[in-house]
Amino acid sequence: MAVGPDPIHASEWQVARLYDRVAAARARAVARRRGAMLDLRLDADSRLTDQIRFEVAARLTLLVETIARDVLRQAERVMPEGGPHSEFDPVVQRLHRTDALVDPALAEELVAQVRQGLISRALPIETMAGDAPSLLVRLSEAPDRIVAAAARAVLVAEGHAREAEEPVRLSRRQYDRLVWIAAAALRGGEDPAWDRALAQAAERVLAAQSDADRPGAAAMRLAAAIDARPGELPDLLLESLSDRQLGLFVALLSHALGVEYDMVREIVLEPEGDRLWLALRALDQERATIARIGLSLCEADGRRDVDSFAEALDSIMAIAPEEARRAMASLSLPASFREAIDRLEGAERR
Amino acid sequence: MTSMDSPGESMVARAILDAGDHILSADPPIELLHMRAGGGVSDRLAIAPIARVARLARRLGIAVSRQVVVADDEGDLDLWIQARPETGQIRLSVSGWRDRAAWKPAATPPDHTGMGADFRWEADAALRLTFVSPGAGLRHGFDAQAMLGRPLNALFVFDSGTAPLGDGAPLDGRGARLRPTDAPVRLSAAIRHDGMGGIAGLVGAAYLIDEPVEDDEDLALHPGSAPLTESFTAGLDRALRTPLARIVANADSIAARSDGPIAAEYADYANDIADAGRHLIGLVDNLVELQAIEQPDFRLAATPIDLADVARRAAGLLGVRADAAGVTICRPGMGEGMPAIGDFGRCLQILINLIGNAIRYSPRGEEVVVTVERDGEWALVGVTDRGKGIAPEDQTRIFEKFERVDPSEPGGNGLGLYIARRLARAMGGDLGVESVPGEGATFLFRLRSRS
Repeated sequence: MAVGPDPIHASEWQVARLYDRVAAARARAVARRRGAMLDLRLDADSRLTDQIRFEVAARLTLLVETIARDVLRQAERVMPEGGPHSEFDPVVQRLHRTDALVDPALAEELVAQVRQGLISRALPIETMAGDAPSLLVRLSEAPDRIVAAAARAVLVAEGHAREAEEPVRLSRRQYDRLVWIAAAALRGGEDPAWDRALAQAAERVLAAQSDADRPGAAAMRLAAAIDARPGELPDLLLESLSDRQLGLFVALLSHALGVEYDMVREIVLEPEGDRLWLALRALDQERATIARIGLSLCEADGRRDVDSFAEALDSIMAIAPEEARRAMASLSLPASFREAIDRLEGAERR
Repeated sequence: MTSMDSPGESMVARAILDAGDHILSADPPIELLHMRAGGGVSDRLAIAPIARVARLARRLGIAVSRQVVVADDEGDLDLWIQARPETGQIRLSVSGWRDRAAWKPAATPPDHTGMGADFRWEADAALRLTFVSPGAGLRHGFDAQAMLGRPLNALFVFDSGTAPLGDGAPLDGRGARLRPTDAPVRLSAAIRHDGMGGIAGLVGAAYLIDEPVEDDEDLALHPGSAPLTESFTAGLDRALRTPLARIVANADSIAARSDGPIAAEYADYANDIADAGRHLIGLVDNLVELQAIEQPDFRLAATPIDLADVARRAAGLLGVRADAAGVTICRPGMGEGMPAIGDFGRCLQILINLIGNAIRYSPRGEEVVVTVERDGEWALVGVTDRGKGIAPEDQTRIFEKFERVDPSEPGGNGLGLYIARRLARAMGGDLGVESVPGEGATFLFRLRSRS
């Protein structure tokens, strides 16, 4: 007896579905062409390195998987008989395939976190205090119990952020969005009962998220607890860098400048450093402090150019703190206001 | 072999530069480097990487510390530079003075990245814990968070009772116990350096181990004493040779950039991978051979051969390597013959090993001399180098398994001479060495002669 064709395989090529196949193939070709065009248009400056791309993709997958699993588990508690949900794995794949995960703010956050980690790990270590324990360990033993507890929390948070199995931290708004996307992907057609279960589950997952999980939250609490006096700030800034605690460096600057953590992180991570030098001048930092900070960041970040920094140092020092503060003033405005200004001015400049 | 009169790693050499980078004063090691880099007495500092650090320190107005690699006559030196600006001058201190090691198995760093580790940890310069894998406590019965900031020995009790770093060496598989649970662990850690090469902390990994049973411990400590069975080496051969060959081939094609341009450092990594792979393939070859020749009834073919001819061929095969090393091989003349009884292929193998070693240990510009002579009933081949020689107490050791003439030397796996001697003896001959330290060494391979 002849063996018949594999029925599943045959159905993929049914005459009635050939049109769909052609259309799908065409869509793929268009997407590829568009991708290639976008890729070619990118200048070397804005192109991500393979390492950053890889780490961002890995973090995003882990994050989405964790959230989808949490939502599913909660939904099954709400509706023990279970819903018509599909297999768990296709849910994650589906989210990746559709553009549901394309979110500039999320991408920006993940890239910033990955960059911060890479630069942190590459910062040159200087044992300024000789054989004394490192900055965070010393702070965790400070007589001020608030400082000690906050320093300990930073040590713990740093440890969590370092282990690959920990999902990344997100702002409330980004987290909300991802939870609802995961819930939507777990739907199984029109099933009001299951939808209600998913909605409840998403709300439970959101309620369990606390503000303490925000990126940089622990470091910000420590910076607030220390509340460094102007005379203490230079040593703290330098020691946080030589201790490879870039998050704490950002938090200390953020607290001193009165500018949001995310904004300062952006300033610290950008390779030209223009806004960072201005910020440091606004805080009336001395030449040696700015030189040390610049040198450390140049050593840790291959995109920076130590020679042009050395070249510019005298001009940077010539800026009066008052002028620097004026130039930086817009940074302390609320984020939404700043974004609106950027959008308007960006459109006018084009 | 050090490529210069190495001042030793702990030494700090100093120099002072004027505002134009001219040397005002310099300790001999820095002066020597300066001259080797083509600098004259009143010239600017000619050692480019150090001059760069000095200029940067002057422009920034702060002390700059950096690790640099300086090319020396025969190799590269790893140096820690600190340049400190002071009243228009630059004060340089240079430490490290390490020859940059070529790839060698002995230099394998401990697995501090924690591949397969049960948990990872880090400590600062004061040996206070700054990181412990967050999940570790739950899995192994201690409070990982409470350990942060505490001394390393709050978490680990070291077997020998001494603290790590006592000898300034990284931990590599050191035995210890978890203090909270008394569970035995092995610890690996790499030292983290600060800008001046000082110790800035440890990056480590911990591997939980089962309570050792006496016999197990013995076996683990002396892997060389484990018998090599035929099935084991056959398995080793199968399991390793094919994947290794693939790794080497792929690494070579990455290094050759055959799929398009890549950054030079990645090409270098690929070269390292290929070198390490080739080394392992050589080791597999030798282990498989070892299994065969260690059988008590191992014997080799006894056929008439011409040892002088074998020696000429071996020298010819190594001609390219000798050229690359700047060494000349003097081989027996074409007219010379030395009839002997043995196995042609194995004799060639022995002589390739001996001449290859001689090239490796010869200083550039020297000769390796291969001679044949007759000594009564023996046919002798001598391979003489002008290297640093072998101390009398080492002359027995180098023929043992996994021993090296110079363990600090790259290349080789410590099986070559052992196998060569076993082969010589299996043909009824022998292999020995005569050497005066400082004056080179002569390896003598003898076989029964044929009249």
